[in-house]
Amino acid sequence: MIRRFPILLVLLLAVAWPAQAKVIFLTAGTSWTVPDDWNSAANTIEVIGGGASGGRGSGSTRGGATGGGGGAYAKASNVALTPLASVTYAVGAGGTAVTGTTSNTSSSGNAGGDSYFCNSSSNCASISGTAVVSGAKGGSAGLGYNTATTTAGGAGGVGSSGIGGTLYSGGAGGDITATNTTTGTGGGGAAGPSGAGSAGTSSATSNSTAGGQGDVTSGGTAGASAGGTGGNGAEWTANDTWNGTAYTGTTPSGGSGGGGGGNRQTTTNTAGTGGTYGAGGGGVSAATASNVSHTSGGGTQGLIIITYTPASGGLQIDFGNGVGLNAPANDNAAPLRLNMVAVR
Amino acid sequence: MTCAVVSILTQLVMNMIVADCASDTAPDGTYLVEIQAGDSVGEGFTYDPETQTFTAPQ
Repeated sequence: MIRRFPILLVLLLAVAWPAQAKVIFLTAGTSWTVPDDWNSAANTIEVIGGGASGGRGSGSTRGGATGGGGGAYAKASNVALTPLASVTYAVGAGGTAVTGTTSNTSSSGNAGGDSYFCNSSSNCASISGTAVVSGAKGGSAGLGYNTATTTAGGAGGVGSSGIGGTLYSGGAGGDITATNTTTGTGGGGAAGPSGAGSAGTSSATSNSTAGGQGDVTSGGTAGASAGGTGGNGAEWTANDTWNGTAYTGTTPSGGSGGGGGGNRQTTTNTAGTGGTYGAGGGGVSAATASNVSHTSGGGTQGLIIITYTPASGGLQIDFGNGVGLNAPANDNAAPLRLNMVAVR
Repeated sequence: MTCAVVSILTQLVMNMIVADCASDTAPDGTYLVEIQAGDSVGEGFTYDPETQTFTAPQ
């Protein structure tokens, strides 16, 4: 007699789809923990330096000022990092705006900070540190003056002074190319993955000029003359953002910002702020002798963009207590399909 | 907030970054100083811890 016992066959098929790239923005802070699924063979680390603020011209009705320079861009590929290690980075600050009245002396803007990323937590005190694997310079400050002269716009962050396999320069602030003008020129656009930032518009007459577009033509739009704010870049969409303390869980877009518009003080007294990220602010001039406050456009902060394809799926199957699935410790796992088929 | 990254040895400003100046870890050999609104600071400035002021390079 043949007894036939039910036979239970459980077939587990775990099929891993190709992992999708993850994009993480670093917007603030100094320390980041490398994810446990970091893939040193499939990643890019891109950085945009901070934009500079524009200058403030005053002291006489001939005071003029130029826009600040935009931040540079750098990209490194296939950076080797140790999973779960702590690494140091810097997000370059935007140059703060300068303000004053026509009775004050003129003033220069403030430079943007350098953005860079290191492969360790040491030798990383500046963009010149030996651990820096991707780094981009911030823009130089716009200038202000009291008397008629010609004045160059703040230089864009110099791409060749950065670290990485792909390097682009930020756009310069607009120049003042003739004397006896009361002019506020626009700030430079930030560089980006498509190329250099565009320069703010120069001028040889007493007027206000526009800023420069970010990332050639792919970034934020230029701020309009007479104090327009630069447009925000949107070349990337992040899965998450690390702010130095925690992941915010948001999925923002970001990119290379456009420069803020310059302003010759007429109806308004503030030049345009650069768009996010890395754009220069506009310069502000005093067209009248009235003792009113006027403020240059501030530069915008830089950005770090980390893109990587997770190294593995991260799915664990535990047969010790039956069949179970252990979720990975982080949210960077590749998507998996699990098929269970019971056969008697 | 905006922080100046200041060298412990030279008191020179090495960079300007976006961070929490009080709680974020400063890179080796540096410390962080919060920049107040209206301060003019940039790379190459000198920080005086006693007066808590920044001086532009000559």
